[in-house]
Amino acid sequence: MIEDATLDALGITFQVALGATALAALPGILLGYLLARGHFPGKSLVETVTALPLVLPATAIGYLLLELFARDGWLGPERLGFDPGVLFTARGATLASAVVSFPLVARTAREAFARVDPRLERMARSLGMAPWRSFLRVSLPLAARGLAAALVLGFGRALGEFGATVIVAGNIPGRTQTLALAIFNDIQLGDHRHALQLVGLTTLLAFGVLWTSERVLATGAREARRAGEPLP
Amino acid sequence: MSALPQPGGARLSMDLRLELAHFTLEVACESGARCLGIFGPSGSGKTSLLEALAGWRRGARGRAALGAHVLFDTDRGEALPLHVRRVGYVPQDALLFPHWNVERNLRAGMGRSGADAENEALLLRTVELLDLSKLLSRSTAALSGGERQRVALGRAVLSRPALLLLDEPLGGVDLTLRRRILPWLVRLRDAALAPMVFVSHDPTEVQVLCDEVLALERGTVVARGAPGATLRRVLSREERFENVLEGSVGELGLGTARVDVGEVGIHVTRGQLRAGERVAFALGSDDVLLAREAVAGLSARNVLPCRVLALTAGQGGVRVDLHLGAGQAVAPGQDVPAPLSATLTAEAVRELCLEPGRAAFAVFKSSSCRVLSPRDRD
Repeated sequence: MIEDATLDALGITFQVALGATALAALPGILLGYLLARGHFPGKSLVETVTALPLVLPATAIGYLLLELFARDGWLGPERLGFDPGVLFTARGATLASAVVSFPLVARTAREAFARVDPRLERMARSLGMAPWRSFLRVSLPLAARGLAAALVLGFGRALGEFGATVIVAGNIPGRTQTLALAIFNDIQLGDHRHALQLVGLTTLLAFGVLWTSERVLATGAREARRAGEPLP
Repeated sequence: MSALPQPGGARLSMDLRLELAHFTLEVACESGARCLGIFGPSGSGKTSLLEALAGWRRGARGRAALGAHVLFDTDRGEALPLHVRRVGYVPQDALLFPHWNVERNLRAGMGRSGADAENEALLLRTVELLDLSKLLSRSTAALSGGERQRVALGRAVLSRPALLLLDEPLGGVDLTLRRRILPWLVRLRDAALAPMVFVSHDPTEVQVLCDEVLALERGTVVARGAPGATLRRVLSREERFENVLEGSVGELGLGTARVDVGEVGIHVTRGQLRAGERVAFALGSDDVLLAREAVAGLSARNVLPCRVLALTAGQGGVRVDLHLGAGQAVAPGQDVPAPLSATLTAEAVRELCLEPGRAAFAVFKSSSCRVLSPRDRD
């Protein structure tokens, strides 16, 4: 029998992971394109800074966000004049997960765009498409499968996020407690049976997400192969 | 179609420098040709020249313009962005968009106003011109090499370019197919949608298609002028030459047709030729015999008076450049209306006492002339 608290944690986990993926998607894809195609001074610096959240302990990122949104922080209520409602809320958990997922999305998107033949983009522009139209009509669809992989990776990372979330959003059952936090909670409380149940649920969830994404990507590959065969 | 660019008055002028890995490309020329040929061995800078004109390659200095439409002028710091440059580029590998079918590829450059009547008329005309109607719904991956090139040509034309750049559009295609696509290029040229720059290392293609040729060698223009004369000058170490002659079909006989090239009538296999149409045909220099006198009683349909212009010794024989017709001697290198080359052995040249200015007779079979025309699609 699954308890209500477990269902709550499941719902919050999905809400946070989906929200984080959505939040990281647009800037991640745009930055990925910029890094794959752009030539600008300080590009390698931007690349390094983008990768930083991958290497930093998630707790460090959580702490930075906490300082940023604290009462007297740069984006705190005193400075903004209103409460952005980030600390100890699901919104905060989403933001923390998005920050942690962002580098994975951006770097995978960069690889996806790098695999698109830049001459096809030049061709699009020579045919009269303005840069943004060539991006939307040629670069984006040709990178679509890699971009889907980027979002899946980002979603997966957000699903298991713990360190930053616990610091920014706390561990409030029914409000900010995701599956990852609930497992931690149970272990702390010595409720190993329930912890094991949650681990089982999380594993099932992760398996489902990966399975679905592999299927989607494999279908894409099959279609691409089929398109490569000459018609009868 | 009043909105179409009118290439008639727009002359292509370029004066550009581009540092390449092993040499500097330097081309200065002005040309009013419908189709300007760029001829040269691989690695002579032909593709780089096209990429500089298209704006695909950084680092080109100088100026290039089509009439008043300036593509770039680095002295004045001007360079049109690609999407307003109006240069249609057909690269060697066609570069079709793999995620679109043929029709969407063709429409790629037609813009969002693609539904207006004038655009649709141009689409229909291009599809007909390049025989694409059966391909429209196909995926690009399902096309043969020749079909890919035709789609790429159509796509470039439909973007209404002010200048059309063709980089060995027959390069990746086997010889039979090349000869089949060539007539489409001729039709495209004759439709005069935009002036063309045609890069090739195939002398036959250049002679059929171009009004004027620039010969490049290691980035430098080494010869320029009418295709036949220019290629003969550049290919001075080769005893073999593919003659290409163009004329209009005159009298039709039982098995042959007379093609009038200037004032000279040449008999070719009749095939599907129609009286009055323009045709080009190729004739290998190996297939031409020379005689000191008009020999009678020959099966060969062509025994034509000619005059020797120049002799070129190659490794396997001597190339004798002639011009057909009984007219006066012409200085070597000058453009002549009906140039022809024959390959002879050194012994034959000595025996016939051939030297520049001497009159002779060129003898060849009508079936040695291979007609290159749109309907000759076998």
